[in-house]
Amino acid sequence: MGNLWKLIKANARKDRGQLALFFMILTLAALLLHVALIVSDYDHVYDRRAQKRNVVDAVLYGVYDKNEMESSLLAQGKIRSYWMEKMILPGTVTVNVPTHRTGKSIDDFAIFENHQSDYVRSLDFIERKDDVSGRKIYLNLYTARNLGVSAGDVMKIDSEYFGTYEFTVAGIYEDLILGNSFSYYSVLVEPECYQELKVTCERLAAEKNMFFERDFVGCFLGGEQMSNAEWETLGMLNNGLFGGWGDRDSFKAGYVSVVNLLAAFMSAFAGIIILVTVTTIAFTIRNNIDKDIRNLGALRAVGFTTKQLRRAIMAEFTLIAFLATLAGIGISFATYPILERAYIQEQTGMRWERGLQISHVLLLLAFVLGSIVLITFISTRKIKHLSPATALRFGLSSNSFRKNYLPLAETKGGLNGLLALKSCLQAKSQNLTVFFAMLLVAFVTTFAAQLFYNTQVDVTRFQHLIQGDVPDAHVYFEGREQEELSEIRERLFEIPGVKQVYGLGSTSGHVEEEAATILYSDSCKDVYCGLYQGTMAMEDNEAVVAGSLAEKLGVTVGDEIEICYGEEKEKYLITGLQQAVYGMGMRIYLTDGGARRIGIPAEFSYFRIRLDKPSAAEVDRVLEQARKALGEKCTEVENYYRYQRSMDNMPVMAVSFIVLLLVLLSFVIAILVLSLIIKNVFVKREKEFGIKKALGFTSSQLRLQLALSLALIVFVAAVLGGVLGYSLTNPLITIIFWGYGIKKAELFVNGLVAVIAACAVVLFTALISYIAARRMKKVSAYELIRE
Amino acid sequence: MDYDGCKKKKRRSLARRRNVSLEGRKTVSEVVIKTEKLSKSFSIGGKQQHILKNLDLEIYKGDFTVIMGPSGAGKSTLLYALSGMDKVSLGNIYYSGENITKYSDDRLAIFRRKHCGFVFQQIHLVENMSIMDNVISAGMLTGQKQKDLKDKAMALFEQVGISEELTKKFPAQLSGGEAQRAAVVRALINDPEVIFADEPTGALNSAGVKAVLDVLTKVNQKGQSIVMVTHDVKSARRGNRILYLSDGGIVGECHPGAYVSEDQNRHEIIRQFLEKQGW
Repeated sequence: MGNLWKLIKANARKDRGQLALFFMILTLAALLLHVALIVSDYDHVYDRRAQKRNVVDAVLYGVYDKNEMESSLLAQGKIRSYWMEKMILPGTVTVNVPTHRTGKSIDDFAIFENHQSDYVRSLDFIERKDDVSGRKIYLNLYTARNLGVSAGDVMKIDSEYFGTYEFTVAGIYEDLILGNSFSYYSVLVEPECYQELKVTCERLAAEKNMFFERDFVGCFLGGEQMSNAEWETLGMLNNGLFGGWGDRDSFKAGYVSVVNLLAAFMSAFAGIIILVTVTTIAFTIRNNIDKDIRNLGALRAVGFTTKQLRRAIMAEFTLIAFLATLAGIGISFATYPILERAYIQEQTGMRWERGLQISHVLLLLAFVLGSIVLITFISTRKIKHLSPATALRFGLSSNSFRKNYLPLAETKGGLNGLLALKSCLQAKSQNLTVFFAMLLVAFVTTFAAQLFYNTQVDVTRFQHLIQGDVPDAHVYFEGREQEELSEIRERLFEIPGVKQVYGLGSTSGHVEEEAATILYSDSCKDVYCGLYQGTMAMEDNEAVVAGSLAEKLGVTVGDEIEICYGEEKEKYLITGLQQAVYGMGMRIYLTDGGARRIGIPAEFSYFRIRLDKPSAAEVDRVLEQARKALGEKCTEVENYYRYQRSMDNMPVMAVSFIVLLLVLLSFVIAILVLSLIIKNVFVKREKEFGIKKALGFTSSQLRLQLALSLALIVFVAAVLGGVLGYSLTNPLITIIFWGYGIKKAELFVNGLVAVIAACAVVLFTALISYIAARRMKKVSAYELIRE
Repeated sequence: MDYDGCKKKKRRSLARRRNVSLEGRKTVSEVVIKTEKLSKSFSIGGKQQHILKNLDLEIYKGDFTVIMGPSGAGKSTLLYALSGMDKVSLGNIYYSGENITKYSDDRLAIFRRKHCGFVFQQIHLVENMSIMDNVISAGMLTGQKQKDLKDKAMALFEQVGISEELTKKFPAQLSGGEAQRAAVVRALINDPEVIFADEPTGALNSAGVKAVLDVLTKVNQKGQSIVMVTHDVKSARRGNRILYLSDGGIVGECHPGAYVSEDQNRHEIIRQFLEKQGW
């Protein structure tokens, strides 16, 4: 054991440069994997907290008579208990906070009363300053992080219905029902303030025949399941104004779906990094064995067994991997709160359950160490039958050169080029490892570059992938009659530059027994639904079904399905399969006529518009003309093109932020791996360079030879990596998003981006090899030979 | 590209001087290398070690100069400093009148390829190149044509007793003696003014030692200047000038005359000289 430890220490001293680079790469990989594990754990965190805080199994909201609703809830045998809460939905409000220069417009704003109720008791306050002066407001975590406010900040809420109110943030809470990007910007206000707002809104409600206050009903099911139809029956009770319903799984999806996406991205990148690392370790070990073969022979001669020598090498790398994994975990544990506060809370609306999960640590250690032990075991097989005499006299290299490629006396060409080519041809095993490592580096660079393009330069396809149909603009209007709609559509079509005008509405229903979102359009041919098989529904008895839903039901194009809305149900022919992340792949598309067959009103309050040549300015121009053309009928317009590319666009921006981080990370990893490979090659050939330098080769010549000897293999690997990145981006994205209903991703795959990424890898390799070989210039020939 | 200044600057006329040896032998020799107050220090464990101290020395054209001395005296350090392979800490080295101490790293490399040949104790042929390629690559550095180089190399290989078949092999496939003779051919391929040999027989068996020494002697007899560091008295007997290095300076010099064959008298002169130096 003592001898083994001495060997490990001696090896580590000798390889400290390489080990330092490995340490950095593995630390980054472990960091990324650990963050991915933390992020993917929000799913369980949600369950644990919901259990602990007695969060309801489902909620229902609408406008009801309290007594009638209570008796119906009691009559519904599956509901064990319930609570009822009031909330004000003031429509679009503008919130002014100190961090935003201009006000933030919020459509889905919900105001609750801060009083002793079951709902308020289920909230977990994480910041509280009840002694603030002024009118107090409490925000859920998602709202607070998106607005960028903390307890003590002042904010103004401006509504066309109740005017402008100034509040002081008195607390921030975690809400496990209404506190994520898929639900509401919910807030609590003091009872007096709530009453004041309610009175103002009720006055308006009476004037405008509108409803501002809703009933929010929380239900405990006690293990029972209620079908969509049962909820809809309950929701539409006594002709009540049914807002909707949701169960715990659907709430949870709102909290964790974005972070799960992030976890999938991070895991994919970390996996590639680990693969690159183990390849580089294999390469390093083989090189080190070649270089140190005489030392190994000497150790064998004095009595060390090959098992001991192999164990020492394996232990050296495993120890580094162990320390790097712990460092990665430590760094991620220490820095995650910063990322969480700055970014993750904004996506999840949840707090991280601080604490090191031993299971995560063990899992990571097992994965990283397992990979390293395996690769070091395989790589050290080379010395399994090492004879001390052979090692001391000839080394292993004596057997490596069987053929003299390009004999100088008979081959025409420049000296540097010929020597570089000879080195390249003779180092087959090295070439294979360099090729594989560079292939992965080029692949991950190209993949990251394609994602960067899709999330930062042209988000259209990525937006389609997440959301499905994405128009350039929305035009809201009054009037629901067919004639009115036709007239509005015609007027919009007359505006120069308008390509498509169509309505797209949605409601909840179910297909066979599965709950699903039903989308319908008056012009299905214009709707982008992420169709990947078959054709769009054009007739009233046709439907396009999400791939995930079709898989669940065991149906495909050409089959019939039964679609239900409330009590109505009809058979539809499946004409196509579609995909999109929103709705988790539980969607169907019908024509508006098809929707009416099962009693869906299929009315449109706005039209979606697409332009021939969209740009933010062009959309502004068209919307201005739309306002003029429709006059008072136009109630609101929205430049959706601009929104898509703004910071408000969640979760596209969420993913794009992480992608940006991953692109930077892969850049760092690529540099570290390249440095390591070049360093390995340089270390292996150090003596050769020393001899050549002594004979009169200049440092520049030797650096050029080193770069050229790698150039061919790096070039081929980079080109192939670029091609793989080009052709596998969509399949890889499909795998990452598979669980979200994506069956065939169709992101932009830009050939130029792939070429740029591959060229960047080649140039970086040349640059890094040139920089890494600067030692050649610094060290004299005498010293190089002595080493 | 030519960095050594030979073509750019007017070469200074070769120094000629009358030298009087310690034994009183008078010769008229051309100075090839001259050092002035040459010093070389290393920092070992943070402590400065002065290996060469203010050393003044002249190496003459056509001489077979042997440098001897106890271990750690700085013999190899002096050899590598003289050949421009290692930088000196202080002082100057003049090569045919040209001060090479101020040369850049690359200029020194070009200087070495044109003016110096090297034979190392560990042979140091490039392992992944054939014997012939080792020689040809050194020759190509000076811009000679591959065809001419091959002919020249074959002639040199023949002189040192290496068959054509062996020239196609890799260094690891040759015996130590064969490889070292091949290294001598590599050192000679550019017709250097001086061959620097660092313990060239240190790693060879007796047959190998004789073969290599015979080759070196033969080329010296044809006018090739050689500077050789050795521990081995038998090797030292091949030199016509023996310098004894100790404590960073030349403390003794002996001129046993040109080597013709092994004779007792020559052996005795050298033995007595070395004994006097405390060998």
